[in-house]
Amino acid sequence: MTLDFLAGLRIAGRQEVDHVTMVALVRDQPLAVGAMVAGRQKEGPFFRPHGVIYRNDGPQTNPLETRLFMDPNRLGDEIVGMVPDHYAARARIHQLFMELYPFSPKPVPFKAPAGGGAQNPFKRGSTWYRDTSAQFEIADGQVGALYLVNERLVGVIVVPDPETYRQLHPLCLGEVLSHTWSEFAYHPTATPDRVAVKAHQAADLADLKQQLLQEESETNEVVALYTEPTLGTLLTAKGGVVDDCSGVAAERRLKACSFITAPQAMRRRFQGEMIRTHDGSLCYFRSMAIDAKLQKMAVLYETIDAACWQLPVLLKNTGWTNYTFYRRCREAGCIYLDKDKWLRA
Amino acid sequence: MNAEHIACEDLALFFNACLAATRPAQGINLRRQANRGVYFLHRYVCCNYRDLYLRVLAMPINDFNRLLIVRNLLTHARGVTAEQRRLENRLITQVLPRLPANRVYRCFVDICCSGVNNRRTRAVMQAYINSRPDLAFHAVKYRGKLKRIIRHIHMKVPAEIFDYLQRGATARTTWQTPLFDRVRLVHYQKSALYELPFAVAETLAAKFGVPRARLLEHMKDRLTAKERFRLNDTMTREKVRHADAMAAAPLITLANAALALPPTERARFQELLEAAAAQTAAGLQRRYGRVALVVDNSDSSFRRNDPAGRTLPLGLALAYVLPHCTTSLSVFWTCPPSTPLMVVPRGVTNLALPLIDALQTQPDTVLIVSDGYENTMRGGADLAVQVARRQFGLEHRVRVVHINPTFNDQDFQPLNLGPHITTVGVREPAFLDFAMEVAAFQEGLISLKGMQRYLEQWVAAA
Repeated sequence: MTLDFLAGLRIAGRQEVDHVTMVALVRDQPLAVGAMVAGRQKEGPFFRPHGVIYRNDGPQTNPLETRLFMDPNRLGDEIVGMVPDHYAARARIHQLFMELYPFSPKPVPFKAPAGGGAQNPFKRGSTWYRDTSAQFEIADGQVGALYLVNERLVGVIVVPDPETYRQLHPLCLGEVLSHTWSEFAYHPTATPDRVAVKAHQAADLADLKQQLLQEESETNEVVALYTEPTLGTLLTAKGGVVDDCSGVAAERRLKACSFITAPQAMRRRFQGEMIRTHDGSLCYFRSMAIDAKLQKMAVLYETIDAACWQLPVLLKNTGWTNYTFYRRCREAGCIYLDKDKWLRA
Repeated sequence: MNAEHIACEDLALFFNACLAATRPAQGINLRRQANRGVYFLHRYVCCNYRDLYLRVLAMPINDFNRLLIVRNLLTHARGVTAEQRRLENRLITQVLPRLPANRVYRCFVDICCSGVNNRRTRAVMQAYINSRPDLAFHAVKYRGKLKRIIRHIHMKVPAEIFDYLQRGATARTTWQTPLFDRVRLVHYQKSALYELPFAVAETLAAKFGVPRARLLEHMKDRLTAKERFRLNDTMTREKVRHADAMAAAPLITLANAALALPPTERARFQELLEAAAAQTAAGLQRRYGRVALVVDNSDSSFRRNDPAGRTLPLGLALAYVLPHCTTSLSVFWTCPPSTPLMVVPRGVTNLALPLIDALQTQPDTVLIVSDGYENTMRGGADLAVQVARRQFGLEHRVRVVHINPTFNDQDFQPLNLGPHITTVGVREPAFLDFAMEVAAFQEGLISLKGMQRYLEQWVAAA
């Protein structure tokens, strides 16, 4: 499967606040007429990220059912894009859920940035999240964004129309900002870029304007965001686990899939979901970097998935014993895989 | 750096805080107040520049800062000369009656909670409370606060009011004051509800299940001015016949109300805004030459329920006021609308490009209304001013002032755009004169003595 999702999108400026960068994505052309742009009144975002749907109040094995769905008020008979409800999908969605709400009995270690100034967001009454997210502004016609923390990509989201994005914007930022603090300990220095043009380089105001526009267009090239590897490489690389349910959705009008992509040039893995229309145009794309702490879990999932979620096959492939498998599960923080007998015997 | 230079910097910070800072959105207890920038700044200036500090009371500044000055003057009065004390008393007694009663009572309660109970404080509080023409009304509306104050200063009030405050409406079976009797009766007959202050009646109506439309219908003539503005749309929605309260609303309220509506429904605000702007401009004394106004109408410039999102209302208000005070005005937006009234918050903050356009018209003064966050071309605005100053040379020195309504508590001042642009904090168009004076003071065009003379003029006129 090729995730050439950037086709039809262009970058409309990047904003930096502290360590977080948001790169706005807008469509080159309006989305083609199809299921996604039916002229009914919108009543909220019709794709809901998993982090919102699932709550942590039920038994662990129960709330893992997932679906990417559209607003029933808008297209009642076209609810498509079901992620197949089998063990692998369950595990991956649980992984995503754990990424959003990782459980840890210890408080998250906080290390203030070198220059000081930033608040500790974990302190009671801290307004850091609110203040920081208020500084990011939505570009005109923005349908998606790339989020970078310390110049590293942590997430991508593309939604069908600007209004949907406007509603999802605070949610996505909240997710990214919470990610930021886990990275501060490693990259304490980051200052927002100012314009590179100097006053003495501009002959007059007209010249300055031209130079600023030129600089902006250069900054906003897709390739400039990621030189090594390029952004295209990052997300078009085929992942270790790809689960395409387009066969299920083909008879309807949309194709949906969930995936984990692990580009070879990067240590990081990305987990996401996407929906395309029948003509191939992208409706919805969401991809978030898996937290470093959960990389271990992802590796285990990939190994289990390679064994088709069958315990005997897994033990045979890896040479593990039952106790080794139990220990691996415990180390990866997914002990339920062993206890609840998720794997077929 | 000499003492005068330090004093100028301190005072410039303080003037900006007085124009821009407001009470923190979340309640803050007295022990933590010292850690907040604006409270610390007030205390610092009160200790070091008391003679200037008290004179700021006469200036057009925010109510919050005015009351903080009153509170600090009353709380820290040791070692004050008799002459200075007389001036303080005069200014305090002049200022308090002009301020909203709820804010004054809150200030008094803060003083009480601080444990301050000197003779002057008691006298000021007593004078204020005694001068209320409708003390019974205040006793009902602000019972908790008034009770706390009276108990703290041991003030003697009429027996009925004392009984009501201390023991409530059920303390007596009959009251000579009709309002207290209504409060007593309201638990037995609903019609008594409509004779109470609206703020009290609103709560009780919800408790007794009185429909909002009926409550508004009965109470529409008993509302205060601010309640009328607040409930204007509600009354329209509930189909209660009423006069349009917006006709008497201040300019910034109108701008806020207009921007809260979709552009297609704003037509009725055109005349209202023009009339309010003319009225505001009449109160401004300074006249400016050719002015270019750059307004940031980016996505974050106007957000409902966000006290920080006041940039766009201020920009819109200035776009209506400045034609009355200038020889020529050209307005530049970050995302240009067809007409100023049709403006919507949209896109990212890119101040450099509209500022360059504005500077190319060679105005005398450029006013930039923005919250100070440049999302793209960061530093471009400052760069543009540098280039313009070099291009125009000494023969045409353009003055660039950044007007920022958002106070940054961490830095004790509004966020600035760079070293070549003077930043002042303004939340109301009516404060523009004083803000421009502060800007000149920051730029060094006015000396410390000049500023003292300016303050003296206001004190004399007060």
